[in-house]
Amino acid sequence: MSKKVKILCCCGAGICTSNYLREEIEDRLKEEGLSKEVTVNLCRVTDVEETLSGGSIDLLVTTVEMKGDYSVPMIRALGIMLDEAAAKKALDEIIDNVRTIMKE
Amino acid sequence: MGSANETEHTFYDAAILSEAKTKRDVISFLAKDLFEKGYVNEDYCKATLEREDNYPTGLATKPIGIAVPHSNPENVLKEAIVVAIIPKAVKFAEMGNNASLIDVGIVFMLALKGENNHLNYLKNIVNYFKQQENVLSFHALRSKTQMKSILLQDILKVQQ
Repeated sequence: MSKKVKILCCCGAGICTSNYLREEIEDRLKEEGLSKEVTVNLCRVTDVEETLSGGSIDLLVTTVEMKGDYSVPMIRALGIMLDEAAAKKALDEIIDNVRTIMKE
Repeated sequence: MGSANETEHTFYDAAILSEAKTKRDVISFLAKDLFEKGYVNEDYCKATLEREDNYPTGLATKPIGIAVPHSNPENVLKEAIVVAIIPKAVKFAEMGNNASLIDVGIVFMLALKGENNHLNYLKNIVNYFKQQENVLSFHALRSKTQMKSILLQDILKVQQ
């Protein structure tokens, strides 16, 4: 059985762009037939370290500029709302990471 | 509150800010109004200004930008969304890129309490203003009643 993947989406307030991003990710997961394998959680950027320290998160996706020295892979999804090429690139990267993590 | 619309969960309103010269003017005016109406607490204005400096919310729609200032849910008492037209655009920093300043003529103040799975406000706003003609025609409005009706029917697509 492959591993379930937990994605953490973060933005400045943890309610707005992260929510937008979660919907984009969930739509794409559905297309790829991966919805059941992945859960997507939200948090604000100031709570990232605490949330990651819980140890259950596999992949971090952020809509804000972050330093990026974390225990899990991080994907920057900046500018995805107006730029469809940037959105596709970020989502492709997320799906690639999900598939890799599932094989672990 | 007069003619303001209210659904079961969220308060919707519109404003035209002819005097605003900076993003600070815009956010302060809208936040103060929501505070006086009892939708946010006294920390909301300061928190939203600070958050805008740290994590800007400007979006470079064309031909004029929009911005979606908001802050932490704990400062919101009851959810509200206020749309404002700024006839003479003011500078906001771009989301994800504090160094890039854009001219913003339409602002959505999102006083939200938490995750809105059933209603993705931001997505609806962004999708509507991806079209240049929508940006232009909305920015040209000078009637708050019309602004509110377009906000509800065409942008957020909520039933009243």
